[in-house]
Amino acid sequence: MSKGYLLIAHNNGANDYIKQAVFCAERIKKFCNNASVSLITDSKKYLHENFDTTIFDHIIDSKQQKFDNNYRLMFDGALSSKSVQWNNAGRDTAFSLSPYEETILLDTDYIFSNNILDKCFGSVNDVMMYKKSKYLGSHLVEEFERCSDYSMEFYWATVIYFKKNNKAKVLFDLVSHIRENWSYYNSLYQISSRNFRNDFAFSIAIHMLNGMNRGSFVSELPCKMFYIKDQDYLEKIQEDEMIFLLGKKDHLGEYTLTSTQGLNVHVLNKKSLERHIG
Amino acid sequence: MDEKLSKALEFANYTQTLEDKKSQIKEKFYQTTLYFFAGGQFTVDQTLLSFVSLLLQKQNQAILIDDNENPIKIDDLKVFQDNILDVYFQATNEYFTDIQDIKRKRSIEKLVNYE
Repeated sequence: MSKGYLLIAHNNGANDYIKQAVFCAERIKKFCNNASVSLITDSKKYLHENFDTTIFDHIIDSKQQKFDNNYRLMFDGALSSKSVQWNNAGRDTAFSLSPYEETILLDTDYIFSNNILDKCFGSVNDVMMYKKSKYLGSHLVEEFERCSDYSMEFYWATVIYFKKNNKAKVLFDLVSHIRENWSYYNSLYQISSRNFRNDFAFSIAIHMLNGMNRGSFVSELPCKMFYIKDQDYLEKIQEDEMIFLLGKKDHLGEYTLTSTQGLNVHVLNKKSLERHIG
Repeated sequence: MDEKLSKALEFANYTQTLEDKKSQIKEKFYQTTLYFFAGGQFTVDQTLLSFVSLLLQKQNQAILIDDNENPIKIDDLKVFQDNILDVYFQATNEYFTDIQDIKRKRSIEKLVNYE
């Protein structure tokens, strides 16, 4: 059975997702025994002109589906922010575009420092995602427990394991439908932000496929999703160690240092990540 | 700023980093206690080790329920037990070493290996 990692990179003028994807692929190859990595992008020319493309086993051309007025305030540390177009639509196309029978779909800002996800290949589960997450700082972040105060459980679309079978297809097709009718589902599920967000779309789809309830339509990926917020900084990456500056709660612009070893981390401060890629 | 206050705040930063570091070491420990077998995922803890040991007194084959509540058929329980014991020893040894290591580090820079 073919298996591999799939990344999606659509540049938006503010962030270089292609650069992040190349770095992410290098880390996957390094920690996951040279695993197969493929890329879905609309910037093939930019990729070929600026990067070594041999890191990718397949480069899949795909036009990005744009959402009008899908702007997001992206921070770079606690004191700097910029409103940028959020080109996040099209994750639902990964099912049909994936060249693998078993795929792990990833955000480009998910930084590998171990091979735990590689062990998911061959799983008895058809679809797996992260529900449990942990912010690397010590203060509690409730933002990623539920989609809103009165809404369903939050699933991260950052990492999705799926098999090319009917069960996964139903999920991705439903996410497609939710994306096409986002304003309706956004209101129905009382999502506080008007922006389309894949985490919300997948969470809604999973809730629906569980019979409008909690359930086991999607199984959980191993361990937890570890992350830093965009108000924090990635300070250093060396082998499987990463050092971060974490914003202090209620003390804007003040930080504490922390480090991880052997943990995969979702770095939400994309600017900070790009500075480290070089 | 008063010297006593600035020292206290500096120490507060140290304890914050220490607590974060402990928490991450614990998460890494949980991660290393995971054992993947026959498409299933098992958290190797005292409960699993005792249960497998108990089952082995009666038979060498069993169905175990994995972390995602899938029933997984284990054809050779003895081999499974040997493997989960290895995982447990390795994970707990690493955890012990990591905790001992940070106990010796008395500055933020040393805690995060940022020197």
